[in-house]
Amino acid sequence: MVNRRTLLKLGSVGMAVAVAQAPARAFGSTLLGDSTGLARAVFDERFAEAQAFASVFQSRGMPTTGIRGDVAALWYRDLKARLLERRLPIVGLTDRTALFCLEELARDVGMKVQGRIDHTFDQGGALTHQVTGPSAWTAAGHRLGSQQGFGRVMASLLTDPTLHGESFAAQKHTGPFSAVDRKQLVSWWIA
Amino acid sequence: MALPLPPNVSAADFRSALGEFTAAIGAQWVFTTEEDVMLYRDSYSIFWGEAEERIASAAVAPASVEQVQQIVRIANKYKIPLYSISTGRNLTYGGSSPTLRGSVIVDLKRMNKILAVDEKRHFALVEPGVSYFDLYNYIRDNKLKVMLDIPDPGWGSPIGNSLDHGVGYTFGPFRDHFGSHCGMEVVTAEGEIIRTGNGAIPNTDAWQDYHYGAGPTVDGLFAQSNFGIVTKMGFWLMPLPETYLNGKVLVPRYQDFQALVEEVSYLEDSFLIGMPQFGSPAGGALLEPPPPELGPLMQSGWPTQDQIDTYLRTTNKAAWSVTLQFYGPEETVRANWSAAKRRMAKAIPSATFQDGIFFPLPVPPEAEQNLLQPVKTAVGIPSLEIFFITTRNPMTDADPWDGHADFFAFVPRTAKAVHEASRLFYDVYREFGLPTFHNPFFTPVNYYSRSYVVATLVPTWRDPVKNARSRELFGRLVDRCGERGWGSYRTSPAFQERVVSKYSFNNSALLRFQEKLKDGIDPNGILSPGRYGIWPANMRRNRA
Ligand SMILES: Cc1cc2nc3c(=O)[nH]c(=O)nc-3n(C[C@H](O)[C@H](O)[C@H](O)COP(=O)(O)OP(=O)(O)OC[C@H]3O[C@@H](n4cnc5c(N)ncnc54)[C@H](O)[C@@H]3O)c2cc1C
Repeated sequence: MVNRRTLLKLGSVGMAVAVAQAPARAFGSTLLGDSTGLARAVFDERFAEAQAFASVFQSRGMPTTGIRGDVAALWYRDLKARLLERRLPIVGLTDRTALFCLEELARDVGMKVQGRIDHTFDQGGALTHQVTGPSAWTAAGHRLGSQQGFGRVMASLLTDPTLHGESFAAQKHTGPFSAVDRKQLVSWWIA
Repeated sequence: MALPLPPNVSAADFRSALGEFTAAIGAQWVFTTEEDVMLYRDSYSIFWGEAEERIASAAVAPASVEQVQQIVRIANKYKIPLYSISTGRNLTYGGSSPTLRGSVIVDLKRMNKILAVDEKRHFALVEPGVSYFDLYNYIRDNKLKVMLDIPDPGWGSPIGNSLDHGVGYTFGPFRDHFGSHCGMEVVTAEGEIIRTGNGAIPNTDAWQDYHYGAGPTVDGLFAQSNFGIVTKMGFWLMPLPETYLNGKVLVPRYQDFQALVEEVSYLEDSFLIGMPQFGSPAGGALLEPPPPELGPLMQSGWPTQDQIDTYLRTTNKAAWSVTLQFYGPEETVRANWSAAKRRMAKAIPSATFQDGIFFPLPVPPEAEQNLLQPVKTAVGIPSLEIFFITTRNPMTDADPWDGHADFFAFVPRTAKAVHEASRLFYDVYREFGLPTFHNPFFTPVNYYSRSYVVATLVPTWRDPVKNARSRELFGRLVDRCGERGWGSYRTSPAFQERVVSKYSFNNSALLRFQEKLKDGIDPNGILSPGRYGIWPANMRRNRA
């Protein structure tokens, strides 16, 4: 049940690249190359950063699905059956509520949130990132900086096997609520 | 956080029990690692991270009734407390966590067969792992002419939801999910299988046609309780109505709320309308902060009637509204809306009316996403949208909650009771120095057709200090309502004993009776100990 196996599977799709430092290189052809390593990249099409995140996966022919908030149709009409058949990681850039719902639903197929980076835009537009997950993520998260454009960087980060590890900390880290006066998005990895 | 052992069970016995569970259902379905078991943690726990948080010791996921029987027998042998869940999505009421810390979760998610949906006799028979989404998709894919009554969010299960007395949003008899069940199959604490109602007759073909059978009915014993593990349940369904129509009644005068309540109750109890949705244009939407202009009115506390009247004159908004919902053939829904308007106009001459929407059922799949809430839920289409509606809420603005513990006081269907309960909630929140959305225009929710709910959502957090305050607030609400003679229909394990303690007529004779049953039915106290205050004899710490 521990996800070392799935990690390795995901790991096999890419190579170790310090993506946050060199995002352009991270989109190189060897990364994201094997569409069997990932069940789905999920993005909330209402947010530009999430669209950018998705474009990386799409450009590599990876299975990508857009949502607009509610994940129910995606889960009940598609993902649940697939993941019951073959448990492969899913990654995403969504709002916190979508991650909350997917996290609760993932229990039904024995999968867990392994890591998450919460991205918060305050009222003035300033951006901060809070990393919860394997220790390697923390360093990568710090390198994200306060610039917009993190969606593409996150897409690369989420496929970097060296940054994955097991972490219990990210599990059920928050509830689904977000502040109204801030935009709170989250990049995540469920395996 | 290390996983707890089941109380009063040695580590060696627990290991042996896990070994036997594994032999019975397969290692893959016995969860013992911290990261697997913590998936059953209640995301909304009001004890998050504290010693009293209800953490399980392990979880098992049987695939059949026989496996459930085996688990129960093993649990009896080692006196292991079990806690059964269907889909385990009971957020705000405990999530998927047990009442007693250290219990083993019996997760029935793998028992997920839809055994029957009959569109001529209008019923369904399902296993516990069937979610509302599963059942809805099955009905839609097979173009069956029945309509579900669903709770929010739709990821729960007919069995889990009804066993916690859950509620929905269509016609009165169907909104009461336990009330609309017909027949159940239960594994008892001794590992026997019983079937209720007509199901007790071998080879019956009328299990879902008659719910009483002969002799005493025991079905109620299995809801909000710990007397058995339900493995099948039948539910009566509404035939798919030909159309849906709604219309809004606006009532300008504050004092006309009682007349409105009486008319709505008449329509509801005559089965002419579905769930009425009360609102107050002057007071703002339910569970949202009051409109800014209400601020000055509430500045010096609860306003007088004169102040309320002046406020209404200056804002020029209706004091009350109710959206009435009609289901049926076009001729009858239009006629019922006309009749409702005629009756309302007579009872409340200043009432005005707004025609709402009308559409045929079923809603084509491609049109579902265009349907807005609350209409989508009112026509039985499940979603998770409630999370997206409630979780970006001005009330939680500065400091977003992590979850909420809902307190629903059940009060009589009168204007007086609604106002009094709203005032009570307001006063309690003020005692805690907390903002409240309760004001003189607060409206009830009519989940159960014969009573009103005056509701509040008490925030829960990942922060123990804030949780301690929320617990105190919740407890105060339970106590104050209890003193007034009002109970709560449902609550999380953290408050079950406290809520049940209000049902204390004749020295808690009801609870004592339930305890006698528990002792007889489940002598080892293995099934969901403590649920709704019913503890096995050896854990009965709640009373002298
Ligand atoms: C925003 C929000 C809105 C909500 N709105 C509603 C609403 O409109 N209506 C409503 O009813 N609820 C509502 N809820 C509460 C809850 O989410 C639902 O009631 C949900 O359906 C319950 O979860 P479940 O169906 O998975 O039941 P479960 O969690 O599976 O079961 C509930 C409890 O019943 C017992 N139980 C379950 N299965 C068995 C079994 N087979 N044998 C014996 N005992 C069993 C257990 O004690 C269990 O803890 C809401 C929650 C939230 C967060």
